[in-house]
Amino acid sequence: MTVILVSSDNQDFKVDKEVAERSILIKNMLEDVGESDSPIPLPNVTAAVLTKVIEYCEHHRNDPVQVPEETDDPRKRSNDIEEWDMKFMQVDHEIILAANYLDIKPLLDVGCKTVANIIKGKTPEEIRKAFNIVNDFTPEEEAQIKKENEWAEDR
Amino acid sequence: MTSTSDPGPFDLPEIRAHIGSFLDHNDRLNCILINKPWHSTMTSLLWEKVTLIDTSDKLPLPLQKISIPLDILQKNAGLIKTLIIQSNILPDYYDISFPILQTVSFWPMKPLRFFREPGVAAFEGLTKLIKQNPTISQIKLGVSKGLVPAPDTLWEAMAEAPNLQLLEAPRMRIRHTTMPLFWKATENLRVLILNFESALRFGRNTDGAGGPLVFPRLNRLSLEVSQGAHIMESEQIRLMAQCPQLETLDWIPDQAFSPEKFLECCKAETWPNLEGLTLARLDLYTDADIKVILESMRRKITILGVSRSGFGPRSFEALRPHFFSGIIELDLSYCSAVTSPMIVEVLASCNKLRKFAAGCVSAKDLVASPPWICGSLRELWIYFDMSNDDASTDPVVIGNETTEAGARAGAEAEQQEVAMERTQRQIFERIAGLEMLQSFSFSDPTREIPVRSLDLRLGKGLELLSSLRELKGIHFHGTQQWMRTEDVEWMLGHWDHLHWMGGVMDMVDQSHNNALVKMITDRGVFFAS
Repeated sequence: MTVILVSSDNQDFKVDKEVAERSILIKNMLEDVGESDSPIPLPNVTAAVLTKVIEYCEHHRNDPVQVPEETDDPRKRSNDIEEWDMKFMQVDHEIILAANYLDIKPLLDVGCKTVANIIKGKTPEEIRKAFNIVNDFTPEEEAQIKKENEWAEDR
Repeated sequence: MTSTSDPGPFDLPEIRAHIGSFLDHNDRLNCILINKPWHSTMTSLLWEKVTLIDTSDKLPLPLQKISIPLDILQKNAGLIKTLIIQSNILPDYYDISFPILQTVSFWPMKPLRFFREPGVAAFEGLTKLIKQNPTISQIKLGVSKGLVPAPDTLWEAMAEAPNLQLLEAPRMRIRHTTMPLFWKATENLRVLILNFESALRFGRNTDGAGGPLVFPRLNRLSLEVSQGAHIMESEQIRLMAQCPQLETLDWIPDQAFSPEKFLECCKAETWPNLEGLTLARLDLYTDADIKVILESMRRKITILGVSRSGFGPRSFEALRPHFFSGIIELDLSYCSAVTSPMIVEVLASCNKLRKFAAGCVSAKDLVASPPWICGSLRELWIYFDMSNDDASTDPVVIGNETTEAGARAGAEAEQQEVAMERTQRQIFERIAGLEMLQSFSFSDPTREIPVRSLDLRLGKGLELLSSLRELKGIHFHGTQQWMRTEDVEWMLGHWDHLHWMGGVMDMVDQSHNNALVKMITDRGVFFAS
């Protein structure tokens, strides 16, 4: 069975139901709407991003549904991203927003892990450069923050 | 595609927090300076758990931390969910309010026990902390063994704590006269973890009320009684029997009792919700007894620990229905009636299994079994019988009838060796499939002389274990090994999380073995010989 997804810029995407349901948001919508054929609007996702998201869901359509894992180590690992996923993520951080909105946890994890890997080992200034973030601290504020957080626990 | 006025992923606090969950401490300290939104998110993460320690005490090196100034702690008190009190601290610290505090850990025994026991002032501080912070839901008391037992006021404060759900008190020396207060403090808990070390009568107060009536909410009870505590069996059973909502029960008594009383409880359906059961000192429990216990667990069985018991075919039959419905932990170690086919069946049937300990499994059975479905396995202890059983079932290979007996014997031996190596590789392949494995032991406790087992060398199959990226520990006591430097190097290089090892690596050359041990310990890995 196929469903029709409509992006924010009004492009239609025909997708297998099974693939679309990797998004919990869409899955819930389909349950509410029932057997109706009407297309599903996604006002927060552009066509370009939606194309990528669908590509991801197609590739992972047979993955087992993720059950929240209780890990003994509270610090999660970011070094286990599949090679396909790594290449996939090089495109656009917009996908993280889409994954969050559409509630596709595995895609959200991959996106956040990718960002985490970029952050690792960098100084604050290097991180800002990597993501085009503006520093809104005064030098005094920066010094104060450094001092205060010396005491924070290293797990 | 992305307009600069549209929000980016980093504008959402939940996404920043999610990214933060994948970062280590140092990276978080860098992120805290990116900008104000990042500062806010990272501060919450960094201050969730705090250890309080007084550095004026002379601490052993690993415990040395900077002691947090009072004003800084006060400033961040609203972020703290877990407070660890590691040593005597100034009383002012106990005066602070922690609005979202959930867990208090008092003199924890890990990572390193602090030598000086808590004094009267420390207990007073803890009591005040509990009274002032009603959000506390978990209290973990590490040390209560010293000259100063926990005072009655502490139990009173706990009894009043409105949100308390869990108490862990692994070393309980408690005065007999304090028991009624203790029961009052614990009667509404969901989780109780105890180890009684001193002689007690749980029961009768002078006013006739015998101990707690019922623990109406207790879901998990861990009751350990140390040797020398001399608490009557009937008292121990009575405590357990007063918990009708129990889902998980661990009972480690001080001696091996005969099964009757416990079985009576099981037959009387004392614990209708019981799913997890771990028992110790089961020397007197037969296969039939364990079967009765298993049949009384009408819901699913997720945890079963019956080490050193008579667990055998009848118990196995009673356990079988629970294989697919979710057995997660199974400890059948030192159960002499557990057979190789049973072990093989467990590995091929229990898809949710995370921890499994059993006994000897025949390599032939293992290799012939259907595929393993226990891909979630984290801890495994089984040991191997590599022998090729009946030489009669393996037909001797094509050869001339006229071949000399000696040469034939030589050819046979060679064939067997080849077959053995093949079998071994197949076992390695099976183990390699357990990609989440953290702890792997194939130590054989039964033999005096080391036996043929998995040969941990490159070229023999070790390289197949490169998939075990989560491996923290490996034990191979009692097995024959001829490990070389490159084999150990490989292990240290491929298993990033390797933390402990144990066994004899080179059984021929003692000094080479010692050199290997040194190589390992120099890299910070614990080694048990």
